[in-house]
Amino acid sequence: MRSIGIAAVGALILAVGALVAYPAGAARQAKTISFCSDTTYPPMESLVGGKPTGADIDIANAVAKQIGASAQIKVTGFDVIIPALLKKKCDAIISSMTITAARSKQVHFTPYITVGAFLMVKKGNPSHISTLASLSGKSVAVESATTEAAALAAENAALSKQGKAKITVKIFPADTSAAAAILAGKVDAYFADAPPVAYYITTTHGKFQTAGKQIESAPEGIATRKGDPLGSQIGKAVTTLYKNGSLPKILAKWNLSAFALKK
Amino acid sequence: MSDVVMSAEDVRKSFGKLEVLKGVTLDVHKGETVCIIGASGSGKTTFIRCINHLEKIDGGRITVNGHLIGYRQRNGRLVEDSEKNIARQRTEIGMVFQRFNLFPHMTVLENVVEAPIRVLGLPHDQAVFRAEELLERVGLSDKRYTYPGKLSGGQQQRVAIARALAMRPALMLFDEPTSALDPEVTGEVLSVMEELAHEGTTMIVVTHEMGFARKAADRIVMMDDGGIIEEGTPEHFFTAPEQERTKQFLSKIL
Amino acid sequence: MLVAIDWHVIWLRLFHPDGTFARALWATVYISVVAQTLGVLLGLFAALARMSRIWPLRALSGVYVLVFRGTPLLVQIFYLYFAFSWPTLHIGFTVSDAAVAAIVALSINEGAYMREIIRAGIDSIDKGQMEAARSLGMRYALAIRRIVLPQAARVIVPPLGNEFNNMMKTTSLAYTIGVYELFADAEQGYSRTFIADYFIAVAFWYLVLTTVWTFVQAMIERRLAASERGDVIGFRERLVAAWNPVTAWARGAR
Repeated sequence: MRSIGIAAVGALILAVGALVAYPAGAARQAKTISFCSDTTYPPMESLVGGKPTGADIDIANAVAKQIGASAQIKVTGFDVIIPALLKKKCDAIISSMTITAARSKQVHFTPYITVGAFLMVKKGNPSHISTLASLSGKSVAVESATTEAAALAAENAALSKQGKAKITVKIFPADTSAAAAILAGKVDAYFADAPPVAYYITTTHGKFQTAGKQIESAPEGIATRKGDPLGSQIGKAVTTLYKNGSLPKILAKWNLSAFALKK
Repeated sequence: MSDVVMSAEDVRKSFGKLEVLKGVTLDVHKGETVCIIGASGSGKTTFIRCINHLEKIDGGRITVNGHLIGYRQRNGRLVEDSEKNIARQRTEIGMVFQRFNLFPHMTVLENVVEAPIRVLGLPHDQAVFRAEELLERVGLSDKRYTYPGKLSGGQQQRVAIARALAMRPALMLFDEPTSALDPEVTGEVLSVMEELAHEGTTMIVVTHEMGFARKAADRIVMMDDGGIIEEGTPEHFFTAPEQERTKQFLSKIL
Repeated sequence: MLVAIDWHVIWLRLFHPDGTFARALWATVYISVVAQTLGVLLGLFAALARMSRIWPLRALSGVYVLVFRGTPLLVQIFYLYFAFSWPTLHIGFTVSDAAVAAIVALSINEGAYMREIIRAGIDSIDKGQMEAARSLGMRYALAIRRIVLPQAARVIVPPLGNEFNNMMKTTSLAYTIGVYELFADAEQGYSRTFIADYFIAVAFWYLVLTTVWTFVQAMIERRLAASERGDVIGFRERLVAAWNPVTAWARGAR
């Protein structure tokens, strides 16, 4: 009698285990690609009504569909986004990430747009800002771990060599906080990619303007782990999406046609 | 009479629904030592605490040195007095507590000079001089730099007496000053109090110590159930008490 | 696993920190110290308000604690920084406007927690102390200041020490509004080089800070306990006490 009981419990455990394992496996079959994204960067990626929204989100969805999978967005802080990918918290990164030599050492990039950066200042440019060097003695808000932050650090190194006053760089973990800083008048300038700069200028209706020319135009890429076949799959998908016009359509939808990947 | 130091007229006090003082009337004259005796719950401690307004009275009046305690006449009505005035009235009334209540973070000397300096504004040297005199009187000069924690109960209470006397009050109140002491040390405190009595200090003492009452009191007052039931000289009390309750009480404790 | 740790980075960060790191460490220290100090003062006022007879003060104190204990500190920091204008201070070193805002937010938040700690400390002091003080003619404020608070301090120091320990670590929240403190420094190092060991190094530095504080707290507690132990004070201290009222007060207040 007891042996029947044991057998019954054993069968139950196996059944439950199979039930638990199957959906997970089944999900793997149905293929979801998770994308890490720092959703503090409108219009590329932001949270609207709690949902990730933006050009990068649409691109991620299109790329995943092209590969025959669905996309899942994982909201991640930009300064920890690469370690998140490397620790397999997600399969790819799509977060307005500029392709740099340092980052390329860590991850594989699939370029998909070309974007430059701009300084944003109050309308009328009262502090007469034009280039990064002109920020000497002034304050600027920027997001942590971005190429803009690195550019400002480099500029400060150059300025101290020249004996000039340093730039007061206020570094924020979220870009929305950096934007909030300039919107609240706490800094003289805000330094970020062209898309969010344009976004803030538009939505604040003439309170702000760009200062100087575009800085550092460079390709931005979808990041994947080195050696992960997903990388080449995404590469093929991006090429196809450009060829069949889907990607340009997404860019047009968000007024970002100017940033299509330059060959 | 102008030499009345404390005058209580029909004092009433209730704690919530419980009426603890039901109309107490008592006069104490300059230089008198009055002992209040009675069973616990008779209201004697409450009454003495009303004298310096540690308890607020609900009816009647108390005056000390002619000043109304705790209340002020305003437009013919009695209104509660300001904290400032009450504090000032209290400088004329010294109180010695059953549990001494010395300030543990200050030395004996500091305990005694604290109020004269901070409240009376006495210069430091003068306060120290006065304190040292008093500590001499209570026999604790050699303990002036000791903290209360290192003193016996009897020593602490003597310091407490010196501390109260340092304010040169017109009236000294003692709330069962020896009840919390070991029997061996009650003697040293009582002898200090006897000396004070003989020197002409005006004192009201709530106590169970009949020996002290017999030796030092000018008058003994017996309280029971919120009122004074008998009053008289020590001889009267100990030889011919009138009230039944008084006889019962005395037979129990003597 | 050990080989995965970049010892080079940790070694550098621990033993050869650079100028920016020193700045970051200093920021964490001064923000913690100032915020905790202001928090204690705020908590003291809130505690006294809570115990006041004036009901609007009691209500205000209640609302203050309710709001600032009931909402996330991060929200408070963000709101204060972005909703109001804050000055940048130059007092020998630069205190950025975000650091000022962070200090204010941390202080107000801390005050809400300190109120209960201080109130509990004051409540723990025997009521007889206040009664003795007032019967000597001291007003409430004087009695609190000279008699109750110095004794309450002993009870308050251990939980206060705990709060300060937390405060040093909580200052890392200031990073979200752009203050360059310890955590921000590790962040920057990490985002430049992708070596996570920067965080191990900064964890070590937090440990250093909290350990130093543990020693300081133990020292303070020992000093405060001296009078409770009833130690007789030495000759030199006696001299100073006799001739310098200020020193005597300071000793009493410890």
